[in-house]
Amino acid sequence: MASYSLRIPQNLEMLINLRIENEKVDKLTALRQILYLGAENYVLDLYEKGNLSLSKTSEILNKSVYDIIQLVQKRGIKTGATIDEQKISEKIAKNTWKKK
Amino acid sequence: MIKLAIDSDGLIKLAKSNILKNVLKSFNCNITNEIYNETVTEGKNKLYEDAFFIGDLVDKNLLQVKDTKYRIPSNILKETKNLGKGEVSVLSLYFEIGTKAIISDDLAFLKLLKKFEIPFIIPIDLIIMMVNMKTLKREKAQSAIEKIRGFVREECYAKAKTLLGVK
Repeated sequence: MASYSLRIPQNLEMLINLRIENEKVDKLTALRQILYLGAENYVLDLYEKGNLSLSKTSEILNKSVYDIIQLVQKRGIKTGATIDEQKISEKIAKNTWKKK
Repeated sequence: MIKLAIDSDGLIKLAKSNILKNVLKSFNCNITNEIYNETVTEGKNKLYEDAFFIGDLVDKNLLQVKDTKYRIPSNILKETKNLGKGEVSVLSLYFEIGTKAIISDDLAFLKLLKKFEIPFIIPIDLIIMMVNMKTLKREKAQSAIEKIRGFVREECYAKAKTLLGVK
């Protein structure tokens, strides 16, 4: 596990205090939780854009692939092939069954 | 029978579409130990229904689980840093047993496959292919597309409806 020291801006400190109050946790726990939430959002953003795969996303966030699928659904994030990949897939599918 | 390799994304979406059994009867479908671990073992630990369903299909030998030796050409392997163990194992399986295509709807995986011209079919197009092959009735295909609508991009769902002749 790595450790870092950093200066926290005042507005972020307010956020940490809010979390302490609402979640009844200590300062370091609150900070870790906020950091994780930010990381989760960032990783899911990469997943949505096709910069991380489903398996890789699940490994980084230490969740099952089902958890990830459920999480993106909950947030209304759309994933999967775009129309560009679909066009290629359609062509391959046609060639595959015709050559059968 | 046409031989296919499926990743976790493709497998789960086909399970959710309610036609996975039809797919397994129409094609020689293969997954890896890593995909089994992701979709069955870890899924069962979290009590996901699809995990139990997929596990049953493996137990009935409808879905083959294969070992992989991770034989991927080095020029492709070095581009897999954005992929997890599941996708990398399926890529290896493609090279090792010579599947006709990889079934996946994972955009990061598809981008790599596209780059190296490795054939892939997304679940929606597999469903349509089965209608064309007459191994799946059109009505069942339409229902399947509706079931996975929430899990795919709207543009692909709309295209599937057009291809199925649905307004």
